[in-house]
Amino acid sequence: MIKLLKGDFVRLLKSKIFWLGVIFMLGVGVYSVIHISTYSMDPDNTLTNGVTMYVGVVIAVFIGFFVGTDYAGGAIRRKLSMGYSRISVYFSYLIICFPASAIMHAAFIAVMAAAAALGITNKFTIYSAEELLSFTLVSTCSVLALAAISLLISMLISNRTVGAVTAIVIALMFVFMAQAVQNSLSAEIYHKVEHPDGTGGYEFAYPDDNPSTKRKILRFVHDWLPENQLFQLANGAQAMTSKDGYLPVNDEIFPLYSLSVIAVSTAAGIAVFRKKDLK
Amino acid sequence: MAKLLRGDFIRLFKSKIFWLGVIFMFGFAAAAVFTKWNDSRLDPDYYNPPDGILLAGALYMGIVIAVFIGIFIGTDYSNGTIRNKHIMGHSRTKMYLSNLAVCITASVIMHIVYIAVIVGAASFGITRKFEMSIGSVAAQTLTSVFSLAAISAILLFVSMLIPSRSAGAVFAIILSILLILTASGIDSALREKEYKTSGYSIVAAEDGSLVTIPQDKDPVKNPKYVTGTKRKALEFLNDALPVNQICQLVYGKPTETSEISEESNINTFLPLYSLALTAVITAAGILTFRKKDLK
Repeated sequence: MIKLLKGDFVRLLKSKIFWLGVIFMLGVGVYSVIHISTYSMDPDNTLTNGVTMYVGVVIAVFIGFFVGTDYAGGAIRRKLSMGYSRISVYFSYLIICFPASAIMHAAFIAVMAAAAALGITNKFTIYSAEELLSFTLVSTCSVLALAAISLLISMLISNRTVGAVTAIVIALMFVFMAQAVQNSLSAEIYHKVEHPDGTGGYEFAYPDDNPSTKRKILRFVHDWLPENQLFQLANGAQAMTSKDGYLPVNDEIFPLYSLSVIAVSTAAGIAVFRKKDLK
Repeated sequence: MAKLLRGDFIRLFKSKIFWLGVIFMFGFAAAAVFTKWNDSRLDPDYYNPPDGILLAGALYMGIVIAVFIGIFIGTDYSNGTIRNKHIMGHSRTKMYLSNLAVCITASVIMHIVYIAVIVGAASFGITRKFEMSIGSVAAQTLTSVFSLAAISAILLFVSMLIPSRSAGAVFAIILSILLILTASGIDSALREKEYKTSGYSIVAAEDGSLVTIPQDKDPVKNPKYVTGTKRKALEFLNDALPVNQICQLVYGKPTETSEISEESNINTFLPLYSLALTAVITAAGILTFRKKDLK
């Protein structure tokens, strides 16, 4: 397994698509810095919004090509014929894709943080240093979960084009879904109320004070899926949904949920990959 | 050329990725109709017409077209079909134009499927009736067809130049996303007001009613307000770029005084811009493809 990992790491560092991904995220960071400093904006929201918009798709492109090229070139079949088990081949890809995804994610954050520290942009006003660190760690867990899902898709589809396109389309669908769930959970702010004395009108609904089953399920989905987690980290509390305050962001549970997504997708990926015909 | 077109069209209608695209747009329209129907069910007093969803599919259809064109054209490259056609005596210009005709047809069919579901739902009473006239529905549909033809021409240009099927498909998807983001960015920029208003916040009082609290600030000049040559350039791009055109049809022409969805002086020559863009991109594509090494 160590030889396998060493070979894959060397391939990663020589991979054009990996460095393109890193350069792209660095470029997004530089563009954001220029935009913020031109308009004297605080960098806080741009940092978090940048994370949600780009990183899932970038990771899907990278993993789709990285794994797909091995399929197309016959490398996966060769590894198996050299005696490596399918489980170790899968785990090798997982271990390679994790730091690659984390580096791409960190590239954007690093540019923003460095620009603020060097005084090129304003300092962060909403997030303290500890909160920034916490945001980085929690969002990285979500990014690793997205990487595990993209790897599952890429390992199951041996056609490089179809695999890469499917991974990208699913990453995009995750983004749209996250927005839809966020809208849905924030939507029931006002409802029409009629009182027995005939008065009424539109009033706050406070749906989180007595959540319906549908709302509880949506809330769980919104906390469990990694792109939804990134959305919540990016947008924060947007709507007053209970008398106590805003739609809560349960970021303390996100890493656990991300771990479960990684476990489930990896188990499913290995189960299917073991039976896959590689001819 | 007729033989070339016939062969390509037969291939189109046998193409799984084309039919997947059609099914996806049908599903997308059905989801939009369901949302409108559900909103009307939850709030029967509020008239919720389907005008806003008529072209919602077209806004994001670039991604669907990119997937289709990337894989459809890329397969020709990877199978050697493009080289074979050339060996059989078909000129590169005719091959390019044949692919253009097929891609535009595919995009229009997917778009019409979406529109048919939305219009059909309104006609059969599943959603409310359109607030805009039938003439406006027809005009918007026709204008968006020209815009989608231009999008197809752009994505075909990319796919014909990149011989790797996977790289071509991925690049086309990324380009379609960039076009959508550009449209959104230009729309937002043109809607920025010259002065930031004094501002207000809405909070809930203890009895659940809404209270508006004005913020006591003098209006300040908005640094993001776009003026002069830059504004003229953005307005030109907003009329020339195809996704921007669809954005205007959905949200109205962006000016500093217009609100989103307010109709205001949309340029009636948008189809001409699309035709011009299609012609320019196609000419550039043919010129580049003629010099390309097909080995």
